[in-house]
Amino acid sequence: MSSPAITTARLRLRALEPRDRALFHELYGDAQTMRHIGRPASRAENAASFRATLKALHQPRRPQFLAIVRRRDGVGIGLCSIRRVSTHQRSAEVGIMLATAACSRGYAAEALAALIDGALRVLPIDMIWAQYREANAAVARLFDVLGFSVADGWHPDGAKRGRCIRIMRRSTWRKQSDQLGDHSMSKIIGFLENAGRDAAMRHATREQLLQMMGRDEIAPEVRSATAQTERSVLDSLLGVRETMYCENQRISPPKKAPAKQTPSKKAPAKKPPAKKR
Amino acid sequence: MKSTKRSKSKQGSLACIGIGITLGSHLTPLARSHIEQSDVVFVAVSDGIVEKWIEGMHKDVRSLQPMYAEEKSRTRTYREMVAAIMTEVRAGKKVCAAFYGHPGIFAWAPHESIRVARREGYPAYMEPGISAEDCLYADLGIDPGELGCQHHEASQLLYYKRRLDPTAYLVVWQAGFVGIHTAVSNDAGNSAYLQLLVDRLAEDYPLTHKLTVYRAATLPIHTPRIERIALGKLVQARIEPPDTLVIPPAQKLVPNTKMLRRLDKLARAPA
Repeated sequence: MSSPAITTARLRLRALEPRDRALFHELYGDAQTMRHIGRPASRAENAASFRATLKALHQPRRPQFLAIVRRRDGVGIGLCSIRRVSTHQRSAEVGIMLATAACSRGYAAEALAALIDGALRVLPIDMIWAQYREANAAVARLFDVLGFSVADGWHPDGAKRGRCIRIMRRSTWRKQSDQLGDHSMSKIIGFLENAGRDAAMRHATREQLLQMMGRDEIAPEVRSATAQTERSVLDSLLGVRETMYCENQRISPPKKAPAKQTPSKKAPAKKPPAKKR
Repeated sequence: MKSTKRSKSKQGSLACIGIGITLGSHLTPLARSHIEQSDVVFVAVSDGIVEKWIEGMHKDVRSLQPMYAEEKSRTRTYREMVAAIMTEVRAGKKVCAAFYGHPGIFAWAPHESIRVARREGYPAYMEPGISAEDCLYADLGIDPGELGCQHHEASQLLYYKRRLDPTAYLVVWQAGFVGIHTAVSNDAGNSAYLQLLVDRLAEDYPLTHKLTVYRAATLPIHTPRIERIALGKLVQARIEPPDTLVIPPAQKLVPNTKMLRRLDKLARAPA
């Protein structure tokens, strides 16, 4: 997928560039980030791998990497990729890596949802899949939130042995998106409005809220996203307008920095004109 | 001809209302009534779901959000907001401008719109809403009457020499935007700017003094952000634009013995 930048509420996904070398090394060289992927790479290994990855960006059928950049400050926080595009199986694999400091803020779901949307729009595929080690509970939760199902019996080309395989079919993704359209929006807003004015719901537990949303027939993905503290997943599922948090009052600095206080040379007081006699 | 036009424009009116902070919980019956009975509703909130909620109450809800832009001067944005609101008032419409929280707290456009409308002879008024400050007292269990409470805008603490009272609570608003007075907001939450704020606060508080990073919940199912951290560690914390710093007193109240003596004298004086 040749990739023009994809923009979400908080992120920009753009093709990997030479300036992303430090980010690449930060991710592949970090033991914490690599703990569910493989051995952390040395600087030299990373340099070679980075060159190869950049070169591959111009070759079809090779993994396409996108840098995930936070729009607020332009800082690169991770990489996502689309690879193993199979015309035979009409499928492609997605992957994501985030810097440790950017984890647990909903960035992964926000980035992947946008990537999947883009991939299904432009690639000749009907299925997106992902693989991960069973111990990687955070990634398992991520694909739960995005609505991926377990691939029962289906084995994609290039999947590694012993990995968990999760899939998202084009039809499911579309259905999910449609379901989360206006109908879902009005349902969740109705639910939130009731929750806001019902004293009995004021301190409801997460489980109670999930139960109440189920009773109100709110789609499972929205239920799960609503119950999370991080808002971006819910916003992107509902297609909420991108908003900037803005102060409504600008405090301005003084027009001119006050001059240093130095003992002022007072002008001698004017002598009153001598009275003319 | 001239007088007809003038009398027609006088039909316009403006109500700047606060919708509170939490969706569904804080909207007053009066604020809802303004939204429902107006010809046009402008809305300025920082939460897309809250905006959608207001959209469901009226057929002509216009968001003021698109007027914000990263590379654009805020002053220009606020002036555009006032212009958009006043265009409809001058067209003789009953206008409601809904702002999150309280429309008169840390909000320039509502005050200015009301000033302009009144100057031009249109009825204009403000209806209060539950503000982030109100939520803060409830969530943190602070009574400002107990030890006193100062409120300052973070940047103003840096730009000007303000006297802080470490025997009272101090609430620092807009800490995520501290020191940023240019049009670009990319520096929001930047640690170099936060360090300046820490340096200023350290003039009155020890670096070990614990403060609270607070953010009210905008959705009723969420909990507020309440995070205790030492002043000296503030730079390492994730301070985002909606966050507020709440600094408890660092010193005990000092009795004003001179005034106490005078009060005592008054009390003992024959009536």
